[in-house]
Amino acid sequence: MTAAARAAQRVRPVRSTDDVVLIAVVALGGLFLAVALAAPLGALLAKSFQDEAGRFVGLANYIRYVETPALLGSLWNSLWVAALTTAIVLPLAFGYAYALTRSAMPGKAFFRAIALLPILAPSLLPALALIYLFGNQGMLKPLLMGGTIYGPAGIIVSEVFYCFPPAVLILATALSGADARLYEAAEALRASRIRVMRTVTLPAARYGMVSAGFVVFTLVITDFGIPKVIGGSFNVLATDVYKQVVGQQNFQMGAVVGMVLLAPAVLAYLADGWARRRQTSSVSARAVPYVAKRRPKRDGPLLLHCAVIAALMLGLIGVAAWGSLITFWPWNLSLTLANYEFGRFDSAGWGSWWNSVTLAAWTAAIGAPLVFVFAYGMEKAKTVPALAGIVRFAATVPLAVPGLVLGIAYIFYFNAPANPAGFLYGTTGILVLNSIVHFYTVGHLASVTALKQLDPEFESVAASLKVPVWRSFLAVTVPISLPVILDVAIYLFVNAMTTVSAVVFLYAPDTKPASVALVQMDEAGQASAAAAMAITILATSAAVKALHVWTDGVIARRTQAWRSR
Amino acid sequence: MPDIAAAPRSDSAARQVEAPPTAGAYLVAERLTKRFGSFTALDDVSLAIARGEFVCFLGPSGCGKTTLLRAIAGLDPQDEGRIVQDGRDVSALSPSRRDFGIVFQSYALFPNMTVLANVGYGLSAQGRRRSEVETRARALLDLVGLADQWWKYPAQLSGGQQQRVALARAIAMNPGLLLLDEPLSALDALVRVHLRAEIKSLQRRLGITTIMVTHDQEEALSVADRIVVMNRGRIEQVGTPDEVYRTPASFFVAGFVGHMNALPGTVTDAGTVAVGRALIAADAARDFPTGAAVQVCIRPEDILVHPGAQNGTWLATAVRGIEYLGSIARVSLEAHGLPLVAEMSDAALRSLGLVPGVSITVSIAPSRVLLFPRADATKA
Ligand SMILES: Nc1ncnc2c1ncn2[C@@H]1O[C@H](COP(=O)(O)OP(=O)(O)OP(=O)(O)O)[C@@H](O)[C@H]1O
Ligand SMILES: [Mg+2]
Repeated sequence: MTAAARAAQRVRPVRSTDDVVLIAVVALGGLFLAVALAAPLGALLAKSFQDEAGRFVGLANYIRYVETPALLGSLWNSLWVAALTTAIVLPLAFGYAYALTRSAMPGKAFFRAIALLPILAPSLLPALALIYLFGNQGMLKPLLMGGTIYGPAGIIVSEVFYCFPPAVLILATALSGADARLYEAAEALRASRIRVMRTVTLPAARYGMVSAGFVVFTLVITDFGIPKVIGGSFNVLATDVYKQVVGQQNFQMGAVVGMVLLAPAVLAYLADGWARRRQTSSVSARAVPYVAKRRPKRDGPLLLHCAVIAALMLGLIGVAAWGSLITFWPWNLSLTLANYEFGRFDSAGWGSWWNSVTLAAWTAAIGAPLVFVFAYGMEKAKTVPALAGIVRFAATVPLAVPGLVLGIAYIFYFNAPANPAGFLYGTTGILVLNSIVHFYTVGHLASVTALKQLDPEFESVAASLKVPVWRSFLAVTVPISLPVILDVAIYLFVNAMTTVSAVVFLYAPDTKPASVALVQMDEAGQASAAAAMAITILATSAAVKALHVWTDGVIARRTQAWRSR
Repeated sequence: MPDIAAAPRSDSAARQVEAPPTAGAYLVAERLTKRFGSFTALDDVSLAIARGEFVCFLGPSGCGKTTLLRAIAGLDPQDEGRIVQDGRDVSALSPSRRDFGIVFQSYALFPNMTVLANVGYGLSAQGRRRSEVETRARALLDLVGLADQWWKYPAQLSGGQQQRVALARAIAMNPGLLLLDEPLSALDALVRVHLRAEIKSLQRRLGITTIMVTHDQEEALSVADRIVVMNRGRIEQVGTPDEVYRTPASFFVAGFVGHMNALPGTVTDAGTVAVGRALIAADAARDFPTGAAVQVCIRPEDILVHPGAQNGTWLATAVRGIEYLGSIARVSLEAHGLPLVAEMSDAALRSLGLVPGVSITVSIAPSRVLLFPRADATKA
């Protein structure tokens, strides 16, 4: 036959409109991350190799850094404070997470909610509370017996509070993936409880421990608010960046410290990825979820553990709330709402709170749809696997970039005279852009996870019915994924509301966010007003979170007809 | 049966060259090749399907059935080769520019839409009037027997009902080609049997060219006009169900479709093969040179226990075991140390009074003995 005699022809598929749309989405996502993430980081890197006049000077700035004992000292301080905090948080969080997932302790929902409460507050809330208790005018200062809370002690205690929620979340996730059959097998073999813990529980949670460890370490090293408020003369990397850039206007050295700050975060990110790959999933598809039986000898101590931690958490928040209502600490303890009249302390007054709400709302309203659409493009653009892979990688990079580093990178990039996007500088726009990029990765990963759970053939069916991809995206994908999009939006809102680190470099007088006003009021010695602002931010996030829970309920009720299985 | 895996390739390759008659065919696939990295999932596959035909792709898991189906749909285009549908070369076209309806194993029903909206989805996206879409969707639901379920969501339906909705949705746009990828495999046995008959009668009524992927040979034999038996990315045989069953073109097909006694043997002359110490008369032996190593294949129902006027090989055997399957029974026999399985009706079993240990003489017609070259022996 002639057909067989001829060589088979190669196929060059013609791209359909759908393909073009998806490629365009991925390309846009790539462009967005290139402009809003890669280019600023590039500008930061370049700056670290330049002198004031912008001439290339090689490693001169780095050499000067190494030769400045004060700066090297901060590096060392950052490292040991982060290490110590990690060492304290991990066992506490493990016990807490273990109690939440593996015990029959009462009040689990309550304890879970308490553990997550710090997420809604600005990171420096615990530091403010500690100052009330142990600061120069603190009522418990004598307990320190001549010691001071300003310095590593205050930083570490505050960081423990601040890092507790993510550690508990990660460990609880790792521990809840337990397979009951392993435990039954261990019990049948009459393994002792200690032995079961050592041979079944800990190996399964090992990845969670590694991951939580890296996350906590990175959070501490890159946190700016806490050392700023309670660090006193104890310098760390994050405060150095701020001092170099805002205090001394030494942008080159700021860039170098920024690069140094980036290093441990990137290392932690890479190590985490390594640990993740090594982890063979302990939960097979047929795993049977573990349900704890009542055992007072185990549940009792765990309940005590959780109760003490929860009491400390609530106590610290309570102290800050109480402090915000005090007339004049510590001499006049009568209650007043005067500290909430922010106009008395800061010319922006309540305006900064409104700025923050605006910033957070825009970040959520633009960020969540953007992140979801880009994630959809990356998942579905099958015709350009290489491009999608690169953009997918770029989407995970923000997780490794500390807010401070992103903040100064934005200064260098958007403040450059040649940048056509320079008009953004000093507007709410740059704060929104920065916040979306800063918190991009978590939203991206949540979206991807949700998209992977959808039937991959929805698009195939739609194509066979000649329905364009954008239409099915709106009619099928979005309605099904609405809860996740909402989750991402709330996550972005709360983080934009509470963050200090990146925005502290980028605000203008009329766009100043509440978290920055808080730092400034604290700097000016107005502790009560600062506490009042911290509580206001917490209350705002909590209200939005409550709204979220309610909306989720409404969506669940409206859609239960088709969600139930 | 390890021998099956080593089934010879030569004859199936030869068959591909004498490609199927393509003139007048509705769908022609020509020399399709598809690779995943270094793995070849489709290896130079050619196929022609007539208009209105019901074709089943049958083969073991991983043989490339789904890959071939998805290439025809354009969902995962082939790397090489041509696909012509209704006279139009669609090789390079995206799925949305081809003409087909598809049902997946998972059904992929849109969970947030009612049954009616699912079926009418493609129509309403074309901007047709609402009432028109609804009328057509209701008519389709009527066709699959779900007229009264139009208001439900997929999650509120049984598996079989979901399958019908998916079917109604797939034919809603009047496609020229209906593709079904294991549409019944998620259902339990009874529903499957019922639904495959329904699919078949629906296909007859609509006259729509249909391809169904399955790895269930009984399903394929019962519904298909023609069966495409695949193995390791290649087509082993294309034929009507009885052709595939009675005259399998390769040792693989013989073993895969239906039960088969497969014994290694050697051709002794133009009409006889030796299997162990037994000599069996076989018409097919004339196609082989004397001394050729062959696989001797005999269907269990071709081993006759009723002494009749039959000319052929008579073998003295001993009954080793009996497996009841309801109306028929499968009897394990031993002849000169060779294991054989015979199938007979329950009535025959009773009248012969067979129990393990009994001796019995069986006969095998020479025309019913199939021979295939034995690859492992020629290599050794
Ligand atoms: N995307 C892919 N990447 C790599 N290999 C693939 C891919 N899709 C299919 N394959 C391989 O191609 C071969 C054929 O796959 P295909 O899905 O066509 O099998 P099948 O005949 O439909 O099997 P089943 O009956 O199990 O559905 C398999 O070996 C499979 O592992
Ligand atoms: Mg398949």
